[in-house]
Amino acid sequence: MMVTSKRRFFQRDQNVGFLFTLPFTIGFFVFTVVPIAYALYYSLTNYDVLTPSVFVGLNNYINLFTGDAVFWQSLRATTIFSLVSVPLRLMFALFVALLMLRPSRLSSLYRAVYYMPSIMGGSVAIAIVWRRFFASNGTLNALLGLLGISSSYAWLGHPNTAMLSLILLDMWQFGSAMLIFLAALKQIPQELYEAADVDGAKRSARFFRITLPMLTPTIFFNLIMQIISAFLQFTKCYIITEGKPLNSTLFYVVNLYYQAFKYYHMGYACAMAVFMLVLVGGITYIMFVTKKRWVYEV
Amino acid sequence: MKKLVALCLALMLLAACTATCYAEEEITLRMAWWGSQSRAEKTQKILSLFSESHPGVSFEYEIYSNAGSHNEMMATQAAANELPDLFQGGAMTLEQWVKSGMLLDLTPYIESGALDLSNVPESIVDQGRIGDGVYCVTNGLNCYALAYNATVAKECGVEMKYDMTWDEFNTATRTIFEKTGLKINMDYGFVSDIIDLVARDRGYGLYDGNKLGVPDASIFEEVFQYYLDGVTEGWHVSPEIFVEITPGVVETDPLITGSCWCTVASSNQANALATLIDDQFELGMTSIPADNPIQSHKVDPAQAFMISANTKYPELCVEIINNITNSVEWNQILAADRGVPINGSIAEGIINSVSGASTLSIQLVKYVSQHSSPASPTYPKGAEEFSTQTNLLLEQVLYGVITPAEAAQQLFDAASKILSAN
Repeated sequence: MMVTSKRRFFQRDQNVGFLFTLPFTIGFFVFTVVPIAYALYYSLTNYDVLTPSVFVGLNNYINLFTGDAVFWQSLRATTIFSLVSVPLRLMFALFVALLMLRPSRLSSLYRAVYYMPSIMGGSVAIAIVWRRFFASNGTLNALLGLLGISSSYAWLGHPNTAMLSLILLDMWQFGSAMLIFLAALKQIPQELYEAADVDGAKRSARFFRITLPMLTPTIFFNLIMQIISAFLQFTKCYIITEGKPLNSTLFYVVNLYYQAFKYYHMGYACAMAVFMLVLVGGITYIMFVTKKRWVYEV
Repeated sequence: MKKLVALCLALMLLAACTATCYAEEEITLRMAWWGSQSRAEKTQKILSLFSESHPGVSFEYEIYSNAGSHNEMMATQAAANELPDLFQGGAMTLEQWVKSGMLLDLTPYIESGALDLSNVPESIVDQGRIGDGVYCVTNGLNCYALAYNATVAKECGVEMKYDMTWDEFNTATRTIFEKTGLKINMDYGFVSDIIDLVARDRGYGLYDGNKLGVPDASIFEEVFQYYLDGVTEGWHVSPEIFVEITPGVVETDPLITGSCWCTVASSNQANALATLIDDQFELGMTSIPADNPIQSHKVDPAQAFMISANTKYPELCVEIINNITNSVEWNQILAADRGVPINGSIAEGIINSVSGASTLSIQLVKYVSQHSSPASPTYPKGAEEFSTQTNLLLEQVLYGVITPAEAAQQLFDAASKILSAN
């Protein structure tokens, strides 16, 4: 009997594999590619959600770069936030991961406890708690009072300290980076450390000459992922400060949200989104290009 | 054999799904509104009465704490064409929504009598009229009010009455601040509303149709200077605390938390305020200061119920609006939390059955509605952005970044760009 062509189709691994990836591919196409294409299209129009869009060419982009002080302010705030919170978070994560290398009976407990903020931290509930924590009649001032420093300072009311509170919240969620570092640390071959001991290396040399170089691929990965997610932060700013005071804590995506859903400038917001795509893509590209200089590939 | 079993199982699953889908012909109406906890409780109570009299109808609520979040969420849902069946609308976006066909025209229901507006003054029905149709029905009337701590005012020998002038109010403010250290909150976060009242006082209005209604930046400068003086001299609450609280949310208002003796509120928030104050002091309510009260005062349809054009159950929604307007029982429960009822006879009727704070708001609205001048119920496109810009510039003045004069000029220049760009 002849093998039917259907049977032959399914016999080739390639085709079966393709079919298995179809759910993801369809989802990716419908929920990611198509919206991005729409955003690209709407960024060239003055779509305001309620009336049909009118093509305006590059007007949105021109207005964005030349006429919008809030846009530059939000970009500045988001960049400061990313450049400060990401390195701090990674350093903290690495520090805690190094502490947890020592096997102890409670190490699994510690790992769970230190990972918890990562899970809960991005939520609205924690953001609200954080807002109360830093309020002028909130927990932080109460704690300072217990230590003898009477304070009713409005931590969120001043531009510098407001940004600090957001950075602190981001640093608090170091759990996922910590776990990745822990896994990478455990993979560093012990022979290297033994060889170093034989050569009489000090603790600091062990860290800076062996541990850190061997960790650079992980650091690279974490850095890229964390910087991208830092640029896309929304909940923290929207719940805790809404960009105040003086727009000093206005994140890029929150500004985008206001433009789109508060002022109905959807086309303009799409232009902002496209710019963010280019910006983040550019940063990632630069990091990959300079990778060879500092990342030690085994 | 295996294939047969698999086929049978799949068919059974399909049958079960379809069975569940067609089992109940239950109607679920989606409703959205904003407001305090007490408003939520009262509204849910009247809706459960509706469910009792209409078996099979249940409600899905979307409750927001302030108008800002509500309007943003409605904008998002409007973009997806998924507005709730019945929702509380804000005046700022009414015209845009009507023009894009998002709202149901209520004229046929008014004409048929399903929505009985016979006891409602024509001027109020007109508040929901855009073009040829009526698209929303005012929940109730309210007006801006000063909500104050009457106990402290009495102790300091300050007389608070209707139609105080700005001079009288400023004296009162300073007296109470000197004696007790308590401050005022002149509607920080909604400065453009205060600017509008002051502009009306001077014979203008913040908006004139789709343009700015003031001829130059002097009124802006005056208002910004007022706030700056207040913060520098100490009798106005500092702007720093308005990052950790959201302006407009009654629960966190400085009057409640204790740093102010006077705040600006909508008259219909009297109940919510009283519940939160909980007998710690006596609540008083009076009109916003004005040098020309009749010119300045206005009665707002700040809330109105609208029906989405896509609703599957317009008759049920119309009936709900009808009950809110005309049912004595419902209004006794609501107790003017949504504003003084627009149906004249109901308003008279509930004055005797409500108590305390609701009486304050009803009396104030009654007074203001008889001593006020007309106001446009709709805002021009771009009003939301202009309002945010005003708040931002005031913030910059209060933080010492720019002077009131510079801020006023920037606002005036920005107005033409924001209001015309839309």
